[in-house]
Amino acid sequence: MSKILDKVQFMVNDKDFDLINRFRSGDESAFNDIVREYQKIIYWHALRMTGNHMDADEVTQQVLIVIYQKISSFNFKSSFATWIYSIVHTRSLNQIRKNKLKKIFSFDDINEDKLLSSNNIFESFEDKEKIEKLNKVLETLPIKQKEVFIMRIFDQLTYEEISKITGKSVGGLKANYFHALKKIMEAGID
Amino acid sequence: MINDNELNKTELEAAPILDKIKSLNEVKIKDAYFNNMIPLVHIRMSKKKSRLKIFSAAAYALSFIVTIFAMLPLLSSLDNKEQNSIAESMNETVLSSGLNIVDEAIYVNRSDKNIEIDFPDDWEDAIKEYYANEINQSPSYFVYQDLSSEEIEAVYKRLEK
Repeated sequence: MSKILDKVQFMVNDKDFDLINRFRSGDESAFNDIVREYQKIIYWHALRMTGNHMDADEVTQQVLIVIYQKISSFNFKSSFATWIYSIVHTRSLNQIRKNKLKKIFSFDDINEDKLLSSNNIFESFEDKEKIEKLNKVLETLPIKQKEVFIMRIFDQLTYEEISKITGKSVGGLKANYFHALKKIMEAGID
Repeated sequence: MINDNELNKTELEAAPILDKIKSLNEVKIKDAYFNNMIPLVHIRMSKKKSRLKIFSAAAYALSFIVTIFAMLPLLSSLDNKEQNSIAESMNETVLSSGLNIVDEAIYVNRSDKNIEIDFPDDWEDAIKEYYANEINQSPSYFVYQDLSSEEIEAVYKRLEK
């Protein structure tokens, strides 16, 4: 038993281990602590992937609900953060696919509405402009390059961790990251 | 397959632009947004639960209606069977009473060629039909009709069987 616990604590840090066990033993307030701990990581990853606040907000809420519902099935085989990242990642990709479909069937400019919705979220107008600029850069990348680029540059994850999250090989991820760098260097920033 | 050295070299070359990109990410989001996340998620989960309840209730109601519709032919056939059996038993009662009257009339007027039987209105059809089937005559034959003694005998014999 102690061997198992050692392994578990090696994979999942003490704080997460405690939070998960509290929630599993019926302490609902542990979920609120999980939200406080991970909401920013979830939101930022979703924002960079989807490129707008409205979708990022939707993905964040969805992910937190999934965590609430599925935390009992978390098997400690990866770190809690990796598990959460994989959920955010999948949900973000789903949201991007949904948007593509909506774009096909909609006559209105969805992107404009979404940009307007983010007006009150950022602390200053400069911050809003910075994010718009960042999104423009990220939009130049195909989705496979974009995901690995975001996880390497902003989330500072290792290739092995990204591989666990995306289910892709380390070699493939490196290739995508390499091409992403090349493309960004070619495009430059205004 | 990308060579690790090549990748590191490209990463170094891209370092200035990557720093710029990282600086674009240094923005602040209002605290209020994150402070509202917990109640927002809880409200959404409870809405989801109530929506699930509504869906399950609707699904239950729908399945009930579908079952009822599926059973309608069965129920109506049962109903028909029941009605038929009631009608049959009614007919049997009417017939047996009617036959007694016929029997009596034949017996009393055996030698008389002209037997007139007055059936009550509601018995008439059933009895007419019965006799029509019995001696292969049209139902009208029996109503206003005089019967010959042979015919009376024939009916009588049939009734005795």
